[in-house]
Amino acid sequence: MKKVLSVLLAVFLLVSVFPLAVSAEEGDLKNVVFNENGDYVLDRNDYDAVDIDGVTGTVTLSNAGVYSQGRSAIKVMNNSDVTFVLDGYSTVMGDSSNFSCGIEVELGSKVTFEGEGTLDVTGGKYGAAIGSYGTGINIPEEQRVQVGEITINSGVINAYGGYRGAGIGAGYHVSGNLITINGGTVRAYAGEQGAGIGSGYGTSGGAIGVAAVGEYTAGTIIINGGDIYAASSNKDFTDFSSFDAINANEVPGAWGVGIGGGYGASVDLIEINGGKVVAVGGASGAAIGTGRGTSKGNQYNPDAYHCNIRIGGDADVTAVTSDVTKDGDRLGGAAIGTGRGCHTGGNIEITGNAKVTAISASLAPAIGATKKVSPVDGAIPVAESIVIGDNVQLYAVSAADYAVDKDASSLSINDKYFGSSDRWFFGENAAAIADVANVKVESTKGEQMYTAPTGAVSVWSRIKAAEEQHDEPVVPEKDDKGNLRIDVPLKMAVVFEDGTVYYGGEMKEVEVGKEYHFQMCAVNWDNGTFDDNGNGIRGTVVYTMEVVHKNEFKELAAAAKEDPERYTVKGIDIIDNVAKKIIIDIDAEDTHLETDVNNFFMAYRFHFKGEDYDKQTGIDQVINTPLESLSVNLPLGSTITCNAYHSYEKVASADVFIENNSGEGVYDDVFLTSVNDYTWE
Amino acid sequence: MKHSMIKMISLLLAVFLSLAVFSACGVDPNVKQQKETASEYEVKIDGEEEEVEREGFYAYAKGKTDPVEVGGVEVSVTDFAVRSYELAFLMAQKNFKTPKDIPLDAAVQYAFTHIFYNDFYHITNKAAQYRSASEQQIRDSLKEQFGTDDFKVTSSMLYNAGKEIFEMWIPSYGTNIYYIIDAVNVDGDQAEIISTFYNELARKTLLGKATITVKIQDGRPVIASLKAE
Repeated sequence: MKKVLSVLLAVFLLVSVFPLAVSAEEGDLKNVVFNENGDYVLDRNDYDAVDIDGVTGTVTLSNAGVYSQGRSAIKVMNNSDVTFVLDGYSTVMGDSSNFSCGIEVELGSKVTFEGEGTLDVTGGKYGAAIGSYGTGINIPEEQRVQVGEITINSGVINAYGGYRGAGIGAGYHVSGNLITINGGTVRAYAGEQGAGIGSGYGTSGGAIGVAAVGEYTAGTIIINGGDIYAASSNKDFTDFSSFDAINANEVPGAWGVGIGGGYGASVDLIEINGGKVVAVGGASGAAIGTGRGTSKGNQYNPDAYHCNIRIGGDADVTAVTSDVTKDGDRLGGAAIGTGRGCHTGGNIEITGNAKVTAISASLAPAIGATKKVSPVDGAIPVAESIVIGDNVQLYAVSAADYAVDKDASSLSINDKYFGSSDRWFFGENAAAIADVANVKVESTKGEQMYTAPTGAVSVWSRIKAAEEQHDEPVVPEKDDKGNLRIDVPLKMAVVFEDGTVYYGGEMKEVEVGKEYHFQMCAVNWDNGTFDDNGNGIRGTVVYTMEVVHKNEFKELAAAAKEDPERYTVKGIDIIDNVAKKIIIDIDAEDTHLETDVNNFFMAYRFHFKGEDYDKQTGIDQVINTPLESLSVNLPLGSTITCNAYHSYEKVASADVFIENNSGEGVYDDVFLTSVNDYTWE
Repeated sequence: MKHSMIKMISLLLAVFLSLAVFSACGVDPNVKQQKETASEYEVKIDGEEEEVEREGFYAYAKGKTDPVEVGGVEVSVTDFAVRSYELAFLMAQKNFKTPKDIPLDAAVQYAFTHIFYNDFYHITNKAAQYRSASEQQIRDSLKEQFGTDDFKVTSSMLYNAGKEIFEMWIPSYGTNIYYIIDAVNVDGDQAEIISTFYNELARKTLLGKATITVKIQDGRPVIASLKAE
């Protein structure tokens, strides 16, 4: 008996000391749980949910797809410290109907992103793409959702915040923590009224001491390197990486911020020490700094509201705030500083060899505080301190009275470049602003032009003296690149996976040996435009383009000619019909991408039974002005809604799924493969 | 009476009235996917929004409606009303007597999209998204939707024979769907779900009508046929 008891005791003690091992990888194939330290790989494209629970290790996202419903797609919790290694092209999406993130990082956990792949990540309702979700109500700090730490070292990350969430950072009614970006390419968009990078929508004002404006904060954001593009909104599918929207005053969102605190949120510290940064704020919010505050003193906490910005090192920063709302209201918002409805412009320090382009709208200097009455005492707010170092290259443009907040409580710049009496008010006449009124900035759409707001009267620009410029050593190009022309069929557009739209004739820089996915789209004939706002339609078939050098092309062409069923070999390109891929000789004279009918798009002819006279056809989003005997190129896999008219009066409508040709086209009783005929009864 | 109690009673009354209105006209309030626009938060220069301090929150529920029993299996009629909308108006497949009647490319594209999304109207991405799928995934999805994978799927234009995968730019199919279920006729292990679709929330202008037939196969409901106009 004693022996038995001894054995049982020993077993009991062993079990007590060594907890029963928990499976490192639990759940079914689509619902994965990692709960032991280690290195994991996610390589399916149809995960429903991933939990990373108390793990120190790596998770490789290898062409992975995680699409959740009712929760965050990936949850990192219980003091995990996990590095996501990006491999290939992965997609992670939260649930837009439920409070959730793409990648949720609980307080106490840390995530780091590395690798060379691409990650598209989208937040759910009230949630950041990467960070925390939020709540629909204002609640005291101790009850709020909190967020962990986020670091990005490399890779390409496209982060789309959910409704009222940040792109990267916190969700609605949540403060940020620590975000560090050391490298990689980051494109981050807030859902609405939040920050591209920072906090989500903070608050429009709750009770002081509980959830007033200023009591939420973006936390600390440190950028040491990388290419960063952060915008306050991507609402209603507006592409903020295109300055066309801003130049045209077609800004749908307001009150948010590119980098910093969303609506009603402070900023502990934004420190940009390196990298290339483009930040776009919403009307009333700053590009870098804080978003909209409030006009109500009883909902604003001046003791809590703060904004600290430091830009230095070799940082290359472009900060632009939009001009007006879509309703035409001019709301202000500094490019670097604070938004409308705050009592201060904060502390702004630009030093080192930083290159800064700052462009603001009306009511605000490019750098400083928005000049609208303080919610505290009705005074016009000023920055607490502004420091501009000697070696800074600064271009500042504003539609307000001054490009730099001349009334800042503490101001430090080097007089020798700016004279004495007029240093705060340069270029009062239009001629003086001519060289910077149209400012070129780089964005995901390539180099674009930002047009200074109408009425811009104040410009402060400084370019280093030519003699101070040092010739940069010529570094040989690491990548093997070339340029080719993109040719596009009539009334169509070619759209590459980075979103760039080509209408035909434009040059594209391409990397030799790299595969580029693209799709075919029809444009709106009325304006020749394709976009996601009702102009044109997209196809669904994925095509690939690759450029190679002449010698390789010759070898490939010779091999392709052996298999004429699969390949179509032409002078400068080879079409792999089964892989839907075009291989192009980049060294050829007049090298270009060319797409042909049937393989890449389909020509449709619309006729009426009997005769076509005074009978027209229109196609929603493409042919909005109906035409007789319509012949139109349409992208494969799209569904069109076409309408029949008699004397321009609508008489019928039909939906048509666009397929490639199976011989329906008839001409002189001969079946054609290059056209499909649609006949209205 | 406490202020919070009055609020609670008001809330309950509002919920009751909403349910009464919707149930009276046969509209499922949970099906429409209404965008949360900023219209409730209009931008005004000096009179910014009053933030709503709610005691709770309303999150959209999905598919919450009275199911019907078909051949001993519970079937969500709203799910299949939405399927009929997807096939008829987003894929332009208004009439098929059997799934085999659906053109190959349309069937594969429909199955492909359903690998990633339960409902097309959830696809609210800003632009088309690149996705890839294996042949097995396509076949599984076809079986799940139609109860058969008897299609030459690798002849589809979405098939990349070079990589032996299916690839697609999934369009932003997301849209509001406004409809009323007119009738559900159950006959043994089949059910007809008849729906009328409208262009707007007010349900004033007709988009079309659809009758989708669902049958029970291997204990699951699958799409058998569709007739829409």
